[in-house]
Amino acid sequence: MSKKHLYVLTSVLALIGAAIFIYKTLVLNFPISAIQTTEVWRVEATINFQARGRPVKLNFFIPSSSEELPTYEQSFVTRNYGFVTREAGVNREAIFTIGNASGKQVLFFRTKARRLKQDFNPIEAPTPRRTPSGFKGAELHAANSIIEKVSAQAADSDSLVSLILAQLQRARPGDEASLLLGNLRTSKRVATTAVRLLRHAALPARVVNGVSLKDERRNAALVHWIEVYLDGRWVPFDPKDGTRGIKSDRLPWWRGTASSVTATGASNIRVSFAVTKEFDLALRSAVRHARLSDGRLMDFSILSLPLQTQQIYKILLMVPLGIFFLVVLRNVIGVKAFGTFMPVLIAMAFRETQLLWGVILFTLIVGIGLSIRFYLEHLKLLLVPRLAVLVMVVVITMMFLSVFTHNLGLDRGLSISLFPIVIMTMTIERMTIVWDERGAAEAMKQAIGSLIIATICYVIMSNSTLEHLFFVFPELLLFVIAVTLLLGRYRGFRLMELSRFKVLAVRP
Amino acid sequence: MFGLAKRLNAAGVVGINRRNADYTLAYNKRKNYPLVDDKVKTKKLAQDAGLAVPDLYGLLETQSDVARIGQILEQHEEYVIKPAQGSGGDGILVLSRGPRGYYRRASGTLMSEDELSYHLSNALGGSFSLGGQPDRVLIEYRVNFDPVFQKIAFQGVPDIRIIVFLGVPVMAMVRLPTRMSDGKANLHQGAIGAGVDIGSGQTLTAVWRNSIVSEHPDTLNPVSGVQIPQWETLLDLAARSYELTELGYQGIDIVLDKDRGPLILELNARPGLNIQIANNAGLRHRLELVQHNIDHLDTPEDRINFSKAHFSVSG
Repeated sequence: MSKKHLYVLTSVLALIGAAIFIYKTLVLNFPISAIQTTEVWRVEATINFQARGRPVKLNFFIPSSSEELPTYEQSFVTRNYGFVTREAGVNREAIFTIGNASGKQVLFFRTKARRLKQDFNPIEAPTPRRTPSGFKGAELHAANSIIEKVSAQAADSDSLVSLILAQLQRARPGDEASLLLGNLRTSKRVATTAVRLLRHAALPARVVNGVSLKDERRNAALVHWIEVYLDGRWVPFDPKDGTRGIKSDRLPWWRGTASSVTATGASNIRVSFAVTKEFDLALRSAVRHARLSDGRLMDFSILSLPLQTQQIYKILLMVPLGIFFLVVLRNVIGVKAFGTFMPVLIAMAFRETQLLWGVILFTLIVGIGLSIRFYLEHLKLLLVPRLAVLVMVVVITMMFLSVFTHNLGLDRGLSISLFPIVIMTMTIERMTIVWDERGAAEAMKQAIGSLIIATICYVIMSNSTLEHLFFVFPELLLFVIAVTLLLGRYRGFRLMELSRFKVLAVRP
Repeated sequence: MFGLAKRLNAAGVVGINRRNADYTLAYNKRKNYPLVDDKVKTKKLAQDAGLAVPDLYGLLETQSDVARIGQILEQHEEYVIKPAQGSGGDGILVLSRGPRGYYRRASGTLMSEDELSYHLSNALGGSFSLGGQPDRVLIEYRVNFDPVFQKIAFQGVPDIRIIVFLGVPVMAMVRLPTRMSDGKANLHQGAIGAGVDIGSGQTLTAVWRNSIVSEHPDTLNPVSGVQIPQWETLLDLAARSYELTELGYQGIDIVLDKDRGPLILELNARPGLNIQIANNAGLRHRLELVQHNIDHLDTPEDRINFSKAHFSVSG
């Protein structure tokens, strides 16, 4: 009776999943594989602010199109705000206005950019007006001294720019360059200081603020570089290494040192940028087609969500798949591990750390945590305070490992902060108990089991083909549920049990 | 690999998945689990039914009770300390009075009062309970085991595990502590399990750490062919335990005390599967036989007779 019920349920789930999948592939032509035909990026800016029950006027820079990186399909989500776009000097800006607004406000701006050329070409322009550098007092002395030093070494304007940038990059505490840079040595600060120095050396220069299009990010930080007016053209330079030329994998958003938003009647303004790689053109046209023919289906699709949320779901949709494989490894293979879902959480952390580093960092944290836990045993602490101390130790261990690996120049070590702290703590505690009660061998066996499951889940969860499939066809999850339900009734031997019961086998 | 699985299946070997799906999930109601998962409740239940259990010397319920431990232990020479919800023998201490300020463990090593208090507060905090929830700790009578086991047990207390399905004893084994198991009778901690013939109460083959052995690794005496005294009483206890908990599939652990006879130590709603190795036989054929005939087996006597008639090796 209950068996029949289960089979009916699983076949219904599988049928629904299959029907939607087939409809989407055959009728709506959704692409099954993620082949990247051109590099198309979607950038979304979200402006959050607090309105104070008065008229609001908000100016926001928006990117203009360029030959190397044309932008198109720009759109705004503004609710009841009126808006206009206009040229503002070398930039473009959008002006949002409303007569009266109060409370939390959100405005969205979206654009697409397609990368056509490898590098940015210098931009031809009439000679700009001279802008004073604005150095005074000690800063003026420092600037003079730097310019004097590099002028003596420079062969031409090009090398002068490179030398100035190198000075800033190599700034040591106490020298002139660090006096100009101050304490907050952000990339924006470096770019701004470089521009002022160049102006001081009578070379017109400006800061470019942009968004990096290298990785998909939910909260992308702005990148900054500079442009110097040489021989009638604005030539881009990278302040990081002082080289001429910038790859067109950064979208220039606006030029100058102004902030991206200026506003009246608003406070607590925060701007965040999300970057995603657009799926291949096939998907785009499929979605557009689907919108026209069957709007309702698309309204309920994740592709209609804001970019940041889509990015989250791209990862979240892989979690059920990881958990499914965990079920297989535990109930069919019989791998022993700590905690029910701990390995999947570790696998998610591996997404950021990458596999090798993930395994190394996990082993280090658990190893160090374990030795400190054994020491704590001598202090005879009660359970909850002991766990609390362990959480603190895990956090401090993570911090030290970050600092240590960073000093060795291994930046992967920084991603250690993404490990689930509480889960790691419980793992360490469980491991000590098992170690005490069942011996070190059993503890190691379960720890290695956990790592093996985490590794397998990571490999599956980070597979880009699967990621694409589940993102475009989330209905496939119904299939996964169906198979997991069936596994729930799997009564056969676990693979590991075979060797345990081997002596009982009937001789054939 | 599939061949091996097939042959194990033919031998009627039950794996963890099958035990959970076909027996524990199907025959054990969740609401009855607390009766066996909490040893305080099991003890009370058995006492109310007039079944013999080891005496309870004291019960610690809160961290402040830990201070009373000296007072409780001072009145006795020997004792066993047990977390009420401990699983798989975790957290059990078998102690006797030691020199001033110390206790002697079953293995002969000493344990200071501080170490004992720490162990107790860990146990109360839930270090050994299944879900890590706060627990209680029992201090109870330490069994003086029957001399029949003197030669084949190293310290600690040997116990007899009987799997009872719907009130019918289907398979039995005796678990013998070794030096490795630190006086504990749990197989995964290194104790020996020897199969017991349901009909005669004599030990059959024995298993130690997943392999078959014929003698005790510490005392070097043969472990098979040993007659377990009062076997009839043990079968009777096992058959009646079903009425006690109403768990269809359970394991009952019994110890034989020199003076007090068989005592129920604990009941288990998810008994381990190593008993099959110890008996060199699979469980499934026996369980299925019970399933087919359970309708005619009304009284405990019927069930014992059925069990003896069908599950005896000699018989």
